[in-house]
Amino acid sequence: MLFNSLAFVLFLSPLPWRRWYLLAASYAFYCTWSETFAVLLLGLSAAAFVMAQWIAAASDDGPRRRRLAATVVVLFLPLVALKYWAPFRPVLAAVVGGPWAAHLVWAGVAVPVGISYYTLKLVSYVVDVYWDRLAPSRQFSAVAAYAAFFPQILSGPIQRAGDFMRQIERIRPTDPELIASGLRLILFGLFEKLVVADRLGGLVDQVYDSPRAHAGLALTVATYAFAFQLYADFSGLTDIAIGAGRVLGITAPPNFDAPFYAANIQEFWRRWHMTLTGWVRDYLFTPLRMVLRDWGQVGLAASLVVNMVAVGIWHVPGLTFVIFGLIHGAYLFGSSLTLRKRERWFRQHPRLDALHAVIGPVITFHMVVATLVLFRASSLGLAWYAFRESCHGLLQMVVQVGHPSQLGALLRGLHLDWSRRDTLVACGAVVVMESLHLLQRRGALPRVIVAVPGWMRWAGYYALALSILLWAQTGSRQFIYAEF
Amino acid sequence: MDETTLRERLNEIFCEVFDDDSLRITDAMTAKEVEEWDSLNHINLIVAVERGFRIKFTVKEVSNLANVGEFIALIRSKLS
Repeated sequence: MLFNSLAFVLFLSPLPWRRWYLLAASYAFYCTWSETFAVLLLGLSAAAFVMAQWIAAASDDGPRRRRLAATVVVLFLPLVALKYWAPFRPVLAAVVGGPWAAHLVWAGVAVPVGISYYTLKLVSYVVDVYWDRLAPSRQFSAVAAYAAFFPQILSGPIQRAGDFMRQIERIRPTDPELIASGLRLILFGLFEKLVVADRLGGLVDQVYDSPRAHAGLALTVATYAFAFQLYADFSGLTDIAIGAGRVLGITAPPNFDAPFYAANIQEFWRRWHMTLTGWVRDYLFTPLRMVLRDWGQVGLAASLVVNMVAVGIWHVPGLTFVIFGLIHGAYLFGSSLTLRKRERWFRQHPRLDALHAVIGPVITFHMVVATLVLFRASSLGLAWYAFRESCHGLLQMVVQVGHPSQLGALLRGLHLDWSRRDTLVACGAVVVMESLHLLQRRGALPRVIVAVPGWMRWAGYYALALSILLWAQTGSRQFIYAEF
Repeated sequence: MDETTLRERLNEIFCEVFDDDSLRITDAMTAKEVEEWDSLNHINLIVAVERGFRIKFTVKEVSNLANVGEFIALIRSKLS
């Protein structure tokens, strides 16, 4: 079941036997998707549990490293076989060639729900044990609950083992304030998903489902809308996941930190999907960078590219996502080469520095949005078309529009199923969402909630709930990030 | 190498890597407190320290450091 279906509510009742309850509830939740793959999840959790102790039992570096290698291979095997083998098989066959290609028969079956998330969790667990950051758990239920934890199984956040297991082993009495904050977060997440993301999705799909039927401004608008749809969708899902976790007494790390206001591309990736980028940074980038550290700039470029391509194909094993990774690898490499000089230059020109504080985020935002066509378009050709046309449309907007009403006329000329009321609701919803995100960023939200009188707080909750009822897109759509 | 020289040399390396001559390292200092100390610069720091002290770190050692104090202890253990 998806979070935004009513049945989900039944799972949110707190009980004292937390670890076992969470484990049972998580597997019950998973079985509504697939019992067969629940067995896979259980098997993989058992493998991680046993092999982590096996790694810790080795005291010498050589055997310890070999045991880690074996464990990582075992843990990644289902993910690679089920998600990556089929799409990359033609590439592999072309590379390997000849009679060997005929042997690459395994076509893969369906991709199990959550496998991209729980695989990364279990791998982080065993690597943390290898690095002596964590003692291997003696309780299988803790490891199993960590991997299967149902609020996080669909779309993360990818919490670290130490953090989760510390909480689950130290069962605390129910904290009403935590439950309240969890419910608030769930309400906000539903707002982000149903009012912001799904509505914008209605506009985006009209254009991106058949991009060549549109040109110029239609694609510009759809591309910008997609950026906010993706963000609201994923942020909403994350908020529901974190909120649900809180209701059950578990605190999870955030995934977003107002990323669209990042001053440069490095900062963007520190603020977008933070648990994924943190994972890739700690378990892929840093080790790789260390291995290549004597290769100077080449080592840096290679590490960044591998890192970002991994981020790309983690989402979807496809060419557009590889290109996405290559572009962001290039962005990061270019930016890292020049960042220090840029910052120094701006420090020496204070008036321009003030301007830079505004323009930096705008440029970074556009660097990211430009690559998001690759996330949405179904092929490289369509992505390029969408990008080209979005640029034309943007130029059109900038050059031709002297007055907002002209923009309105231009938009109406697009003949999309999108009224002025839709624009007002969408813009209003985005403003509400971003205001709350910026308050969250400053850490001001808890203070505001406490300081504001009770009636105002409740008016706010009712307003959010009412807007969901009034303006939620009917027919709840699939969460984008649950498909990864 | 005595403690003071170690700390002075490390401080020099920090100033160079993070492009800030006013930086003064303390035992409790972490990456969060230094503006340019991200994952990219972290490796630059490691490489600079390796060259400056003629030692080698492993990935495990580099990933497990909680603060500068632990880093200093690690460097000291490598030098002896």
